[in-house]
Amino acid sequence: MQISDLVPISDFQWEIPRSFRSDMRASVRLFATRPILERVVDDKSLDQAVNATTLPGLVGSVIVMPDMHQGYGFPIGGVAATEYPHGVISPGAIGYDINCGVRLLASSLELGEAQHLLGSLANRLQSYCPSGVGAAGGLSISAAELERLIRDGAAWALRHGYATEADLEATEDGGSFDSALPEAVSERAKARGRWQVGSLGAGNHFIEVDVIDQILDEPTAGVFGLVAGSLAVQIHCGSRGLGHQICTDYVQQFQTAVRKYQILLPDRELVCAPLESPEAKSYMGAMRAAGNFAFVNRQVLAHLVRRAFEDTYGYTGAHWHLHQVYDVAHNMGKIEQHDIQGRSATVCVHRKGATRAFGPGSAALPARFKSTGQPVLVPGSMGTSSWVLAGTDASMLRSLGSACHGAGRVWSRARAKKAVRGDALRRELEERGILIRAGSLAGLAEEAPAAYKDVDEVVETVVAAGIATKVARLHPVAVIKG
Amino acid sequence: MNALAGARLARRPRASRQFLLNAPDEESLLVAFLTELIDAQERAQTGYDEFDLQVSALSLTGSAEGGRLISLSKPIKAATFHNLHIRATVQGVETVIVFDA
Repeated sequence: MQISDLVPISDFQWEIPRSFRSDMRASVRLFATRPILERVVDDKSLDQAVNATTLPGLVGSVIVMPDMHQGYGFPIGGVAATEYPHGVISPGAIGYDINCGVRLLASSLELGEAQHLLGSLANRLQSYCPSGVGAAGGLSISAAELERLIRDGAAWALRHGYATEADLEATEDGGSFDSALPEAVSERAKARGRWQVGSLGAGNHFIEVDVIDQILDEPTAGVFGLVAGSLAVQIHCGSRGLGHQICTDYVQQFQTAVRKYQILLPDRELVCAPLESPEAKSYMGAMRAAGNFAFVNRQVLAHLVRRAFEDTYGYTGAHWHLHQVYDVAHNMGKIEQHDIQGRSATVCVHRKGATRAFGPGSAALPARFKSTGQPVLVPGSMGTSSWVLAGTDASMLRSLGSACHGAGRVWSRARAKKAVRGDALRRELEERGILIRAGSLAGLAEEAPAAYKDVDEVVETVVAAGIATKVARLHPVAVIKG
Repeated sequence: MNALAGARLARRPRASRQFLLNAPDEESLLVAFLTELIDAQERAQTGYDEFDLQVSALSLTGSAEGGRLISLSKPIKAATFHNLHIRATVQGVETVIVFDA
């Protein structure tokens, strides 16, 4: 595909019309600037967005965010809605790391007050929060307990002392997806997940201590509990081996389902099943169970982060307490109500590498966010800024209540490892005052800032397109990676 | 796959296992087989490096031998169907498989 195939709608929106390929059931709407498109046109993300428009029962356009990059079957940064109950659900359009997401905790502890113990804090975070290749989690639970955990999500964490009521209220869907079906999760998936509760894993997952270095919207930042100059913590991880195995299991099972339901698709990773079919109901139950697992995973990590803060700053008398700003999922399928081309419709929204960005007044938001829209958490690449945005009314109309989820890769991991030395990167970041605790220098190199788009440019694009507003910018001071 | 994952295997003792897999097509069979190997790496901490496999149209049987993982620098989390097509060539069949790591 070439940029000349795209129709500019504005400086920040482009369209791939239905006429581009004969099997398209809908257009593709891209939120991007020309420079962003020039950087992604050589990967397969635009072709994958076109492929996604062949999903049966599609409603509205397939949406692609500016942090787009090539995924498996469906582009990362993609959003697609199918009519409920007559459309389909596609596990590949949700992704392997089901309910991968970001949690933001914030304190009123000022950087100046915390600086002298930041090294100790980073060491404790690395020690308390299991991370890295194959790391076992902070909890050891029985098979029966895992069943309850994946059924109940964050409510399980609350019962076991890892969460507060306030944490649950500040978590998308209260941290529990209804209708999770533990019985739809394979024994292999459960076995993979059972020893990983409360672990970060490797890859692009991280815990990052930030300073809130700029407030762009004081009233909204006040509602979110963000104080300029104070420390905040981002936790980015998902459902670990359990989610991966569920996606693997159902992508395999749906290979048969597409034959059974006579669905023709251009990519086998996009396989899907009608929402009312037994196959889809089973997948949705398993996906929600994985979503619950991920909520608990981030909740237990948040508990361990708080312990690290208490053990580091508790004796100093500093106000280290970390309240939860919000926890967002960016790989999930959900049944939602949206206005589509002037009519209200119940749809199954697939978000893969896209954050829900519901605007003010949305019935799905807790009371405190009713006037502001929901917090949208956009982590940057390692060593760069991260952003707290807020959902808008326009996002409900233009992007199925969605916005970007990060910076978005431009280099493959292999290319990053060839181009960047982990030890040199670590030295460079530390010279800039960012402490690094990483289990693997090769893993660090894969996540080099050069391997990602400029998150500021991504954020400027969604803001200019009106689908989110800026609330605060975060600057990293310590990064913990597997 | 062992090389991609940076897997180093203990030479002794040897571990062995049997396979009996069925799938609706060749590509699904390949993904199912690789999923078994991924699971063995992650949960049993075992890698396999010798295979005696028989593949008929829609089933795979046979055995594998290997050893305990000494190290694994880049674990593979899933085998995908991403652009997966098995092609017949003069040397047999070949494909490109994309792993999620």
